[in-house]
Amino acid sequence: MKSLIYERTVDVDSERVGVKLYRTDRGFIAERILVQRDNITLVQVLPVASRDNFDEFARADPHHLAMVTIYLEIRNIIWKSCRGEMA
Amino acid sequence: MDFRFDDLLNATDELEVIQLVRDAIRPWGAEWFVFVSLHPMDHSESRMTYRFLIGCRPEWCQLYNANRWYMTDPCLDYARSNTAPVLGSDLPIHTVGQRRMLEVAAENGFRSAYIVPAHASEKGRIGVLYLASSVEPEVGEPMFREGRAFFRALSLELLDWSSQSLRKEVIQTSGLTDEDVRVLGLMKSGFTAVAIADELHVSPSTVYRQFQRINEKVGVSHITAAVRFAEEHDIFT
Repeated sequence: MKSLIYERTVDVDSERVGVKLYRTDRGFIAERILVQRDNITLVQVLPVASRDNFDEFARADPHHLAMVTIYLEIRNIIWKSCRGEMA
Repeated sequence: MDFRFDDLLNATDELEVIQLVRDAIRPWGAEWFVFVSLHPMDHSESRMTYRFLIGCRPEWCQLYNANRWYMTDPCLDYARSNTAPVLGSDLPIHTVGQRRMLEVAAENGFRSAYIVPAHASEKGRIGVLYLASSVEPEVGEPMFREGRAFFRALSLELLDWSSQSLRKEVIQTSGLTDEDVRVLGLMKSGFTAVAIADELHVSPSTVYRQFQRINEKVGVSHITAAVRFAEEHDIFT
């Protein structure tokens, strides 16, 4: 079972983008949600398997500048909670 | 590790699903996968939700979204009107933009590819399982073809799992109860408030109060909109 432990969105050029972070029995899942101005919604479900994996996802985000704080907050939550368990 | 469909059906979250799928596809040489499910709202393409389960390099999915390739993706185009799997090298390509997208996909690990559509219902909900490896198509794609029957079943199960998972999430988030779902189901079947009251052995005013509570839970102003919301999220299944 997964539980929502973090959710934050920002508005960028009349679009809304954000990330939800879930904790599961096995680790974390990040969901990046983009609601476009044409009402199309894109949800990317990423298993947070390693620090590098998550950082690559964050760096490649086209809205990275607007999302820096969100990604930092998530990073802190994850690494604080499982320091030493992940690469 | 032997793959069992029961494990997938009983998976409690996407992390478990992704690991199961990775293990399941490896014997056929697939290194990566993405499962995309398309969820139309208001039965309309214009309010579509695309949900990507990422079993590949995460930067590829960001690139795909940033370029809005879901608008022109030849794999999605194919999956919308076909049910049979297709190898990447057999995929119909109509535009320069589509060719460019596939070239970038190849640079990101999708050199050999297999596209496996899954169609769920009359409501336009579809899924597409993209399987890929970084070897040349002449080497990788014949291996994918050998797993055709398995991959078709896997794609359908992933679509079912995804729909069920969203259904649970919507019910949990909205706070709809079993009784609310029952009332919505009766409305969908054509029952009036008075007929529902008869069915449930309560007064019509009790039913109207329940309508109001349901509307508040799903954020709509009329019970017919709540029924439509329930249909779109497969709450009746």
